[in-house]
Amino acid sequence: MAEKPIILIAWGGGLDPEFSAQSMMLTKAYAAVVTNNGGIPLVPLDQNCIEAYCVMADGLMFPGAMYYAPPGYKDFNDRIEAHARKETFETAIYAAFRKAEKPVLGICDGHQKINCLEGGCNDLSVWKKYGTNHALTAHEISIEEGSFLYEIWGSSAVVNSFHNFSADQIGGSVRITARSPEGIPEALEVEGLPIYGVQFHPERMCGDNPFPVEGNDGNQVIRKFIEICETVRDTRS
Amino acid sequence: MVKILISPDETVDLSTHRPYLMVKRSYSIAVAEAGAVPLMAADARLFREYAKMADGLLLTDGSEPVNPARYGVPLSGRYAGKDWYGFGISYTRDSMDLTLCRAFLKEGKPVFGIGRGMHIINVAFGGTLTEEAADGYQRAHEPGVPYEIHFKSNVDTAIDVDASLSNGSSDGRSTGPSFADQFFSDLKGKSFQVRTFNRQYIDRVGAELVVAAYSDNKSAAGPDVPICGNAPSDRSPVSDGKSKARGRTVEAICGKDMPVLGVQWNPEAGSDDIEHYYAHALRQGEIPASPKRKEEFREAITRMHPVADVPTDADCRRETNVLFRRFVSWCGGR
Repeated sequence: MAEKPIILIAWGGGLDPEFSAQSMMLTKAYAAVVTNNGGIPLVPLDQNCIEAYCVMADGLMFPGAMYYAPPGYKDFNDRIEAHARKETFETAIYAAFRKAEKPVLGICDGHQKINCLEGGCNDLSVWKKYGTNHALTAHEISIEEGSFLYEIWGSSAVVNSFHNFSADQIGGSVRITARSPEGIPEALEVEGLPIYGVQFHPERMCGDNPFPVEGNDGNQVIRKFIEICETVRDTRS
Repeated sequence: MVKILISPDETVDLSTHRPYLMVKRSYSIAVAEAGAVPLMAADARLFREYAKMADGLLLTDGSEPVNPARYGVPLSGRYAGKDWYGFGISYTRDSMDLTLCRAFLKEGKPVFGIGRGMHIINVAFGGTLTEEAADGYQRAHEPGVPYEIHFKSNVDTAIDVDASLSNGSSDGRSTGPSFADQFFSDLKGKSFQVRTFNRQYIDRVGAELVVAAYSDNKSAAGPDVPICGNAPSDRSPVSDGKSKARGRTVEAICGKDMPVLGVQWNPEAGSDDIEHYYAHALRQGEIPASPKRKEEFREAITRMHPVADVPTDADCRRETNVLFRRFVSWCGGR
């Protein structure tokens, strides 16, 4: 049996509640869903080791995050305190994976981040722009034919939703491949590269999650991504 | 490219109650500064894959005591009813740490434990720990305040035999230069200042482990402070039946012939630690929360330890980073 692919999951910023020390954090659900679908989850930690991380890994995931925004967001100064170190790290590791043409999957904030890193920008209020609430809800999405999600779920699916921001102006090489009924971008792909983003949380659409499963099986998205990581690795070796 | 796997601490996001894994930045910096690539372990179920893929394991410190049931002592009422993020037991973290520790040792790969990580190593080798001090902060040493540790001259001998501190094999237990002896070759006989936040200490040292460094407890100065870190002399291999060993704390352990190392103090701790001490003391209920108290706390620390008497963090780091560098070269030299 071939070796399991190594999937790096970018850390989220946080403070150790005991020591107030700067920490790098990961919600357990992301690690669990990668393991459950045949990958080896690991968290890269050091800015100076990005080349090494890119060489050893078969794929990269940007998880969801709160209160974080790269400079591509509107109302940046008013609304958000950016986490500068996290931003620097993610920009660099994304560039490395993009250059190496290795697979990347962005979830929620990660999806919006890929749009920003590709030159787009984000909107800071789904409520203001679309007149709808996308926090703690479930809704239908329509999926473009031939896309990453279309191969898994066909032309429509029901997904969860935990976001107030959304991808707004779209980056140059980004293609939106799924939208909510209101037109909110729900999935993206970068042209010609194995880079994908989903606005919903597949890691919470499965298993014993504290949030109810209200839609399709999120495992399928992660498994598909891990299969892509394996394929990319095997075709190059 | 030496890859060091770091076992994470745990916490929860108090607003969403989602469990998190977490690595303090100081650990990843220490590993990277020593020339290795730091990676955080994310799922205990993958212990085999992790142990094959990485070159060494760093077991980090943390506030959760190791579950006494892991070393054969019934879980006491003291820990019951506490969430693990309120200094109770974390079953999941114990599992992650012990499983990874055993998996790496099985592969013959080096393991380095800091604080709680050292306790995990001791438990993995069949040793025991003291129970956490009764009111949470009766300790061998003040949290975060520098104190002196002593590396033994010969790590293969008991710590309480004075002769052994100078030349070694007086008790006849030495069996030639062991792995531990080599690892600490240039630190032997030296003393330097360190600091720790731990409330728990090694009691009985595990089989196949030796004590490499110790400290004299604060308790030696007066009867008020309970003796921490030493078992009654009749059952502790480190005391060797001599009462002199009471009031000493095990500060570093090392495998006799296995590539494993544990230290009680925090070699990774950075220079901005005053904030950390404050937050910690606050959490322990040692001081009330207020900006004024914070300043007073800062002054008190400075007063107790005038700058001239205490090595700067740079000094501490230079000495203790030797351990990180050696650990990394040890991982890479396999």
